[in-house]
Amino acid sequence: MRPLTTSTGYQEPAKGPVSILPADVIIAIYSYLSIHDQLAFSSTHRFFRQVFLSLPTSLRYKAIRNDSCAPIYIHKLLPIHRFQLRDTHGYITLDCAVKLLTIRNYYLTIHSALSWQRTNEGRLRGDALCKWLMRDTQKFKHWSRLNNKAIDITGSPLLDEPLLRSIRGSTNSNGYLTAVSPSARHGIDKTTRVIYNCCGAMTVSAWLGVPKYMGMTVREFFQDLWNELQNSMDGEAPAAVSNFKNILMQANQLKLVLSEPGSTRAFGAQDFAVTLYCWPLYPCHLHG
Amino acid sequence: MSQIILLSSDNVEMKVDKEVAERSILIKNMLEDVGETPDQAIPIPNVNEGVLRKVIEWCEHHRNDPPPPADEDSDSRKKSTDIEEWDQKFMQVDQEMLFEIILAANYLDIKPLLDVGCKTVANMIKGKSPEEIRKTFNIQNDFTPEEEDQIRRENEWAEE
Repeated sequence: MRPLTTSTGYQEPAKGPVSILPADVIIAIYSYLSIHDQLAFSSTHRFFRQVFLSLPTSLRYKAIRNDSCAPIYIHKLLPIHRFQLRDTHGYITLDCAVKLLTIRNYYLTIHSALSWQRTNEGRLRGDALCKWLMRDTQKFKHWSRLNNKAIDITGSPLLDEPLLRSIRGSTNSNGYLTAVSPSARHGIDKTTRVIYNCCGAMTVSAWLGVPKYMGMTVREFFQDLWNELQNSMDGEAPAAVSNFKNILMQANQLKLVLSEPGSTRAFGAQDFAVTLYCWPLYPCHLHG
Repeated sequence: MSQIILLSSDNVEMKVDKEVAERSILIKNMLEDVGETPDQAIPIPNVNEGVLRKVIEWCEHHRNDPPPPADEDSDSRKKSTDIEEWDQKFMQVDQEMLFEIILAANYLDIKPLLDVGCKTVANMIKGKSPEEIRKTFNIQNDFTPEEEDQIRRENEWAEE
């Protein structure tokens, strides 16, 4: 049997027939596995772990997206905060993954949680946002499904974790953090951004880029965001949504999702939702 | 119909319809480079007789299949691990043969066969714990206990 090598030069003596397969083929096998199975396979042997850590980001994303259990995993993983607004105004959800301790890197995405039906209605009426959201119907169906579940994180110990971990980077002249990775595209869309700190963990506050979040715990972060949201709810719902949008747009995250003028008109505020997800990643260049 | 001769790594000649052999992109390109049907046997140095016969069997069964999509990441190719019934039976071989077929498909550049092989292995992995996967493939655990702990922590988020 020939030795196995990867691009990093790692060599491993054969340990069973599967070991005769080269790394490229192992990657192809990984591509057919859900994230759960990928993790199990990668835990069997150093070589498979090494290949797993070198998987292209798009494969990892697909593994999560294509995993029928993904919503379960994600919502188990993610501390999710739901903001219930006035009944007449519907709700806004803010789901944020902040499990910063055990997973080194996260894949952060933000998207609308509009239902399929409502968005389709908006699309048929010619609403620009709905058309944009549904430009990839498969992807949108997936996002719609993900938003069917939510859990309450009240009492989660994660809430008391520091929001910000050590940050490598600097602040700009306005005092805003600039430790935000410019790698805004990893296969999903332009609303996606990956942020690392020096440990490879995501920092929500770096993502938000606002100095006041630096000393906060996760709980305080949510509370602060919620307070801002509540303060903005004095007006009519669309205005409140607009304010909320502005809060989040400080992070330059919602540009594409929400920046269409009047984008909420077609479906009304009652169906409007914003969700932040963090996707776990294992980029090898930051590993260790 | 024109035929060509393939020569396995253990020096066994096999006569194959050109159309069948051309399921292999490697052979197809080779024949195109030569420009005419060669009289001499084409050596396939990395594939022994047993494996080559299996590969030819697969190619004969799939001789009329449409070419695979050019896009490597085509969703239709990637998203499902469903395998046709015939292919499932074809892949019911011992593990050594299964991996040899995958290697041959990789070497001969027969993507659909490579896909079937990878899907078969993926299906053998699905739903199993690391220990069960090790047992299935006779993989020796080479992690230290500390590394195992670390991996377990990293993977915690996906556990029940």
